[in-house]
Amino acid sequence: MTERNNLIRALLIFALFITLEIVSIVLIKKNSIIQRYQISLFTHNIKSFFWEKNENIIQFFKLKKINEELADDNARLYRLIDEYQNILVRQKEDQLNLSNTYVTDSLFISGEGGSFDFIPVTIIKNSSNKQHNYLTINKGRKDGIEENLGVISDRGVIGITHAVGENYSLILSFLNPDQNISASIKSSNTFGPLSWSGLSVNRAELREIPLHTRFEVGDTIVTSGLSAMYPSNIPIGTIESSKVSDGVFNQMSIILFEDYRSVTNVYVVKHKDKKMMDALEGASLK
Amino acid sequence: MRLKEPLSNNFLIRFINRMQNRKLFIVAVTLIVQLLLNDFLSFSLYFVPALFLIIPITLNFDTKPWNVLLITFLSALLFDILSDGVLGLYAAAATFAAAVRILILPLFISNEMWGKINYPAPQSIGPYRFILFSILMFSAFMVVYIFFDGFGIVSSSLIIIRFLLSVGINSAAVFLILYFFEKKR
Repeated sequence: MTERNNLIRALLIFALFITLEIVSIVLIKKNSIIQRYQISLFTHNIKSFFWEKNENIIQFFKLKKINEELADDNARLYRLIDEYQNILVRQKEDQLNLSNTYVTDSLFISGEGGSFDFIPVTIIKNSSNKQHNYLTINKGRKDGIEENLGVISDRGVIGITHAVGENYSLILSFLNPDQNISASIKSSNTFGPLSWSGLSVNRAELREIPLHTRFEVGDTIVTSGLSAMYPSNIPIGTIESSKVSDGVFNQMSIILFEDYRSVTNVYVVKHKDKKMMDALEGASLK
Repeated sequence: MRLKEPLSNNFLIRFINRMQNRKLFIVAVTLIVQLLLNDFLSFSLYFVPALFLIIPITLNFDTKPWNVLLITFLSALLFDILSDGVLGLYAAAATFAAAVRILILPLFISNEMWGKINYPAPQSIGPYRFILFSILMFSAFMVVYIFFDGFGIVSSSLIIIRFLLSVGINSAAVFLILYFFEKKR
């Protein structure tokens, strides 16, 4: 009788263990950030409030450095504008027939007449030390943020908006090994999927680059602009090394420009025709 | 003439000795440290801080197995929510570690150790046994954690380094915490 009771007890404990594991695995599998956000919405809002206050204090002491960075950014933007103006002038002079796409894509940075809107936001919580990293920004739905928008800085791709609250949003960081973005080698325009290597905060891997593509170590990698999520030509990093993968492709190690541990000021980018493109994609999937 | 103990040491030991529930204090401090590690320190990707596993490790010898599973699952789930990780990841790994605890704990206890400390600690089951016990607990935790976190995505060399460093550092940390706090009992 006692043995039977022990057996039943052991089976019950085992059943409880299996149940708890299944619950955990379901949570992991369904780990849509939205679900997570719903669970912890209340605590997250309170925490976000304090993170913002904390960030304000830190920002105050960082003002000098931020000013210097802004000055650098301004200088770089001036150079870019100059570069684009030169391109336009040269092309006018050559009387080339410019396609609308090229003009709008190239001038995205002006914010007028381009394909993208830029919403400046501040990161108030950042993780970069895990295999799956997330960020929290200080703007939400009431500022025009929506789910699945790209987030960039002037030094690279930061991630994608996943859960949007009224005042704060959660970003799925680029520092997730299973997140791919389309990137290209600036010198040759050859593109391939770029993803975080998972080994170091400042390294990523560019894959599926055909063997015949010419490139050199140190070449710049930029966003390809082949998705509606990120504008084209945003600098991401430089080629550190390459190796042949599967016998037909080059796989490159990329040193990222962005320091994900200290990034604070970023932009949420919103394609002006996103709704139309989503509708089209939805229709084609049906 | 009697030499005075250093003030800070003296104060800390008296404070800990006066605590009604010393274990509660140890666990609380460790959990705060774990949260700080998760939120504010930039660790390399080679190490997973899992000090919160001190909760199932230090549950009393006579805690019922289903209570071990439930307490561990709920505390890990709380950490999942508080830390910005994948929801359910800590919970799955810690629950497995709790199941391993239920299976292996009888191997580490004997009649003569039932004294003041009624949970696994270096002073109750012996330092070497405790180190082995915590290594097994953290190994069980890390196997499941790594499986769900990055298996198939990250390289095998990273997985091995991550496993060894995490088990080693966490086991050493839990050993030192318990050894220090239970030393003057």
